[in-house]
Amino acid sequence: MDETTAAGTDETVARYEPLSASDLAELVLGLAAVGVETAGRVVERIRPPTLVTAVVTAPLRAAVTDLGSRLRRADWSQELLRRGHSRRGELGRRVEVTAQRVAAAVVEAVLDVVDLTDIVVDHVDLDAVVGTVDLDRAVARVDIDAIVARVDIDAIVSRVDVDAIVERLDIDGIVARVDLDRAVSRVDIGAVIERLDIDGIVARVDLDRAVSGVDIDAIVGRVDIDAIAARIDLDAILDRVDVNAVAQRLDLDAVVGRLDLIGLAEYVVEEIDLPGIIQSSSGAMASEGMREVRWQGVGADERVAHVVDRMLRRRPRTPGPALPATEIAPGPVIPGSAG
Amino acid sequence: MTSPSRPGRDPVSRIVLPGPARSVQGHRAGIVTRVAAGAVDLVVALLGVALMYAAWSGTIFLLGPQSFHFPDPGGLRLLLLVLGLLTAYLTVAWATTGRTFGNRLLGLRVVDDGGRTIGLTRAFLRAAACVMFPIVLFWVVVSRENRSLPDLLLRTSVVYDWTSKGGRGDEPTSTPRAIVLPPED
Repeated sequence: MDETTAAGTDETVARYEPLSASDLAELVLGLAAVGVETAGRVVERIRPPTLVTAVVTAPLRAAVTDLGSRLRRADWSQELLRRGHSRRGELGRRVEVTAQRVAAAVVEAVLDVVDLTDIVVDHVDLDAVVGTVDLDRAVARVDIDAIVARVDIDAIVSRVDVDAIVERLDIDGIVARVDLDRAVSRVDIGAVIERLDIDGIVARVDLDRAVSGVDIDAIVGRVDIDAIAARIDLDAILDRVDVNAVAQRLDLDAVVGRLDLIGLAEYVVEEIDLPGIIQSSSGAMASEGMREVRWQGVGADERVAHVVDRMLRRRPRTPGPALPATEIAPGPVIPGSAG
Repeated sequence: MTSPSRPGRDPVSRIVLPGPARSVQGHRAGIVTRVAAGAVDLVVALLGVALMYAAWSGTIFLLGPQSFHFPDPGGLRLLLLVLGLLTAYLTVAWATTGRTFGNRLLGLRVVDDGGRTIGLTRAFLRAAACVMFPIVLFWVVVSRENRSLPDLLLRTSVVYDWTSKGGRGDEPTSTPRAIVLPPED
């Protein structure tokens, strides 16, 4: 260090004589020491009241300033000042470097001895500190996207034991707390259905198996067929049916072909008592002559009654002319019984 | 003649009737047929009396052929016998089948207002009235309902009935048949 200083000094003081670096340093330091001592004495001596100090120091300061001006005006003094200035800068830099080294060493030694965390925890009000921090601003400056992009979500998920989590979940409790009605009311069923591939679902359903598991008898047993039939308006249905068209499409020949005509004829003969009819016709009316007599008697009755009625000038009585031949009275009709 | 009839059989038996005759079945008969029937019945009664006379004569002949001579019953006794036999005959016939031989020949039947066969009492009263006072029969000519005086008193009727079945009263109907009034011309 001395060499470098000497070398630099040699270049700058090439023109001047013959002061070495050490001599100059000593000179400066000596002057400084003298100055400091002098100033100390002066200050000690001028402790008295401020007014006195001002009165005494003002001329002294003026004298010192005047002395400095004179010294600066001299060449040697100029040179001395320049050297002192240079030396002071060099010393300042050295002191700074030294101080940094010493400070680092000291701080390290202190930290070895002192538990800084305990001190902070014991003596620092962390809540207050945190309260003064503007977390929003801090968060706003964080690039969340970048952070997320750097996270390996797959790896994290692969390390999660989903089964264990599910086992610890109270599914029943969660479901009990869900307001399904509200949730369902917010679902757009139409949109859901539109997105469903109904055909695909149906194609994958084993309908045979599903139907085989259904108890059709039980379902039918619960249906009130009578109530359903009671609600059917058969008249309205029949009004809309073209019975004539239906009848035209009937294959009557086939129907007749399936009928047991012989059996039917036997049944009819048995029901109408055909032997009785034959007996009646061959018994009471076997004689064509007797029938003629009866008919003539009926006619004579009518004629006599007609003549008598005309003679008595009254309306023809009953029985009048014979009624239509197709009319078959269900029983004896007694004419004029009411009159 | 008295075969039991079943409900609904009567219309079937009428199928065999000629068309025009069907329309008068059940209507009250006029004076001609009733007088004719009465005449036939009178003939039947006379024949019956004659048969009885013949039988009586035959019995006498068999008992004493040597002393046989036709009995002489006397006119009044014979008349009473005829009337009595006729009354008995009509009573039995009307009370059982509703028709005598003359009625059957001319297609008549004696019924009550309900179309049923009349009882024995009414049949006897009617027969007695007709036999003792035949003139009452001719009220039929004047009556608008073709009813004689016995018919009016005993509420009976003589109707056309050409069927050969037994009495109409055999039909098991508890309520009288409805009387259908024919249109007044």
